[in-house]
Amino acid sequence: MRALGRQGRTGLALLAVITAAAVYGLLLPDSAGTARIGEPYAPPGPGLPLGADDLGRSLLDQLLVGAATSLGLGFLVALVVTALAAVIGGAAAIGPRWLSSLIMRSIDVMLILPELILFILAAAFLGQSFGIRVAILVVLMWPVPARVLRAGMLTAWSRGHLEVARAMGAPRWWLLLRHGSYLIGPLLIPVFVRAAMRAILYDATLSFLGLGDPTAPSWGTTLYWVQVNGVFLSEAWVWWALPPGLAITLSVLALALIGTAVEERLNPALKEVPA
Amino acid sequence: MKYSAVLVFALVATLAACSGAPAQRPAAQAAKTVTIAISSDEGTLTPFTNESGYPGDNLVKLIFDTLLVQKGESVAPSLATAVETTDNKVFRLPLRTGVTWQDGRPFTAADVVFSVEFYRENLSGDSAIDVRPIRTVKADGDAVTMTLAAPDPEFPLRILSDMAMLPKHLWESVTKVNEAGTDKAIGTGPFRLTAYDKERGYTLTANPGYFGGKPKVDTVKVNVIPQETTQFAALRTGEVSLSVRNVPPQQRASLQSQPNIGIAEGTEFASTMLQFNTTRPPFDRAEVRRALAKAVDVRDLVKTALLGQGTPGNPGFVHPESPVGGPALPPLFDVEAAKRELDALGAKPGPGGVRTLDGKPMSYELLVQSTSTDRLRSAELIRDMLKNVGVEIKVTSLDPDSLDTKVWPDYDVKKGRNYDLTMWGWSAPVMQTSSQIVSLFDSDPEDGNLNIGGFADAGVDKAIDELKATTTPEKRAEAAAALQQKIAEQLPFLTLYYRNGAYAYRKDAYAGWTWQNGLGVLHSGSFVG
Repeated sequence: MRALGRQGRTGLALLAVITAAAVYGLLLPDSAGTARIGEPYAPPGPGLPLGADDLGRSLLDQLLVGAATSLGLGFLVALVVTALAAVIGGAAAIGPRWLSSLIMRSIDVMLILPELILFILAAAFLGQSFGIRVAILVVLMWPVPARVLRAGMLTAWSRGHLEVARAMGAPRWWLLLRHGSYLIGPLLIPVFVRAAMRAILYDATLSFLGLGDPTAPSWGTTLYWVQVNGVFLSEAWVWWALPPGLAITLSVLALALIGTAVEERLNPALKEVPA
Repeated sequence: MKYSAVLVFALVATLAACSGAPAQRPAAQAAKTVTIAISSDEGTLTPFTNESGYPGDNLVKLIFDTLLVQKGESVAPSLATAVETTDNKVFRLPLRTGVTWQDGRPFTAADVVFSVEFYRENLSGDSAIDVRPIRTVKADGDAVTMTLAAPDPEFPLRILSDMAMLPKHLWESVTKVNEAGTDKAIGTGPFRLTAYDKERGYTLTANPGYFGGKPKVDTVKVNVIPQETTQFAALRTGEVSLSVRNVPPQQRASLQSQPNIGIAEGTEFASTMLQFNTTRPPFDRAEVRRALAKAVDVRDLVKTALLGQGTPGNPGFVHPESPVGGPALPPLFDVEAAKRELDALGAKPGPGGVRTLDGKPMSYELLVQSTSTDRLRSAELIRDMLKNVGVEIKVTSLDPDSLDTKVWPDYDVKKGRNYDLTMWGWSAPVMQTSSQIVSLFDSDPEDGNLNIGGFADAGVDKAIDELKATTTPEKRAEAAAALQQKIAEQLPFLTLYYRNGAYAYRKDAYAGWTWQNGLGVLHSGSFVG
């Protein structure tokens, strides 16, 4: 923990709070956020700490259930992207030359495509279910981390002790398992964190544009209905628009702080020189 | 020194004027220029080339006139001065004399005969009319006589008040109607099309010689503004004088609170319904459909999803104020009755409170258009209402095209369907006349070309045949009422509500908008008379 510095610790603490909220949201009964328990457009009051939406449903419950959806999607996408990037990046680094150039050129092609626009198009055509959104995000997001991990792998592969081990006739899998994993493993953390961050942001964007599932509570969905109901023109924005907006900002901020801290720890050269 | 004092004073005065609250200016009853925002291009504004029914057809009808016009629930003279008929089969129409086309040529009976024959040969385009019920059309002096294949008391409203008259001297050379250019957009109407740019829109100039009197607006500019929010923003700044988009209930209050913005509102006949796929069990049984319908509180939908800006649905489909008329049947909502009827069907509550019917859990998918906010909210409310009686609904939102593919593939009911339940809506013309309504229920796909639920019932088919056989308006109204009664019993779909029309305009630019049920405010009556 100490090793992450103040930034990293702040990020971790923030993420812990948000994750706890998400877990609490998961434990709420199914009707949370969808049951009509108040008057439509009710301001905050007893039983409705954040007021009610246009159907009279608790906005706090929607925020909590939305946390589970948003973080769950973010972490799931990040997990798959990291695994995929490690396999593909690794194959590009230590595989045969033709495979390496094939992978690298395809990554180049993927990189010039505008991610968000592709994501919007794909969601509009393929549908908005949770699984499909995860799949689209994974397909769009693997190239950058794959490139990073390939570079990491190449650096590791040319380290002295690996060269020696190779000269002594160690097979590739042994090199990877016994020596490479130490060097590559830590690189996966920032990759994971960054992927989670972008997935949360992209998914909220999609829902906000009305291309997500407008009937499933998530932070982006709440913001979509904020826009539909013209909430920004009334005082209700304080309890209706601000909380999900803040939740998205804080989650992304927490992940960014952790990501930067981990990277600095792995590569001290990135650290700012104290004035 | 003096000059600078004057300058300072002028500056202070200007600033004061700017900082003050925007002044309420008087409502304008006539105007030099009125700017209307539409959402997409409408082609060259001829009856064959407009892209949409609303507002495209409304714009076409500012240029072209019809023989009669819809007024209230009935018809009024326009190019024809009267309708003479004794049997609702032979119609004699004396024409107005001294009317000229916008290019100066006189309008004659030959133009009317030509128009009917031309529509018969060119049955395409949104505003084009199906004139096949007209067997013959003959000119005699300043009148025309139309003979129908079968008596139809609704003929004047359904066809004569919708069929735009075409100038024979310009249109007889047209072979490809969907390529007709702006040079063919010449009618007898109150406005002439004087400029058209695909990107920017249209300029319509008043026709000073219009037989109904000189229009109160000199120039109507029609601008294409695709986004709804941009249209309303342009309205706030005064850049446009009318938006053709129906104001969403949620945004109404904030628009109305603006000085100089007025809202013209009235009844619209566009309907929203919960459609059953009656070819898929258990929705093939009327008892099941009835029991489910009783669990849905349509008043609550209007109150909550439309914020009261609508009329609760009539179980017999037809809006009580529509020209078809008929009895306003009582709402079906009765939760206890719904539960009793489900019990009687043998649907016993199973695990999780979900009933089981014929060995299957009563758990269904309800499709909804992801772009329609009132339908999304209604679908969520219906899910909760049906949960109360032990029926589980999973709401799936789809983009409108994907939804149409499942519900109404290729817009051809003969191609089948693939859904349990869906939110659906029909536009206003579907309930304009009783002959159009039957297309929702007729089990023969040729006549029931809008029967998207695959509904078939011998009793309803019989009621339809009886309706078609009527020859007088009274008998037809009776038959239409009987049909609605049958529909309310059979419930191929549950009519949920009819949204009110609410259109925002600038009072300071032009306030002469008049509401016509079925047309809204964009029609010639808003500019003349």
